Amino acid sequence: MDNYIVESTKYTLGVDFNAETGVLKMTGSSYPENAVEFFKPIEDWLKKYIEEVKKPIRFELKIDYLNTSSTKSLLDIFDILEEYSQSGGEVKIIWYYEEDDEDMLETGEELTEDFELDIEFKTL
Amino acid sequence: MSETKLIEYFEMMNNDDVVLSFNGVMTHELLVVMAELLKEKYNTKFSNPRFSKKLFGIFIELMQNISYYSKDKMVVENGDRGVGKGIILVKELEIGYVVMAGNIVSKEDTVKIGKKIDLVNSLNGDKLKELYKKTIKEQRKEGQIGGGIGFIDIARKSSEKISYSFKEMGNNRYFFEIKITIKEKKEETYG
Repeated sequence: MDNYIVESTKYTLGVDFNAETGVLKMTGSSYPENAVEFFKPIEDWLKKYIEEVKKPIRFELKIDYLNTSSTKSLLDIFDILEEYSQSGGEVKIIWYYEEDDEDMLETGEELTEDFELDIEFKTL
Repeated sequence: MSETKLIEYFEMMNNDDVVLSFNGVMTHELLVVMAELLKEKYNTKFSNPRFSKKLFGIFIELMQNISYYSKDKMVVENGDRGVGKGIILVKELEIGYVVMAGNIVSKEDTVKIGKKIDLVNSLNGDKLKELYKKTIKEQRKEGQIGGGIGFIDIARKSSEKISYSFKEMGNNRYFFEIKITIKEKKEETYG
């Protein structure tokens, strides 16, 4: 299975999903013109990985800003990961945040608190 | 038709401490440039970067609202939904900023928008968070590209209740105006 890599821009996340290692990284700020369009291939790749590769996933997020529409899309990704985890898949999420950016820590906690997922918060 | 001289706009905006303004088609390219400017350069009133980021977030949500939902649209090449037109303005205050945004909506929209903002304005802190979490988990409707949570997010970032109004323009056209205030202070009373 191919890796999925997208360079970051000022308003879109850098994406580095590695099919061999199972390390999936998303970095940067997200306020694309159309979040649904941006996140669709990411979700598709993830579903395919879960179906075909079935190996552990380590999801590393280093996010500076998410607009509301992107936040909604990120929750869809957590949904997919939760389902994988509940059906026996190994999933670990690491949410990185800048030490002085407690709002991003709060955002991370808030978005993940209702999911049954293994999540760790770390300062950068 | 009366002719307004450019200097009159210029003086009016300067007297009103307007630091950033735009009236027209809210393309994404423009949004990015203006939002980044606001984050990096035009936030001199804040000593805490948290507030610059809040201002940045409010500005983006307001601009995207216009771009997605304004009834006045410019259809761009290869674009299927058109890009909304509207007006946005950032004003400096002593200890913060006011962001104002306006665009044309329909009669039906005035009801929907009014209900949404009134609900948001009636809630504080934890209740607002609850509403945010509930709304963000709702499935998008077919073809919906926004999140439907812009006003909730804006309310959580702002320092005062959301102020808004509608003015009838005729032909089922209403001018929707929204005003958000964000001030840097020790205790956050709202959001």
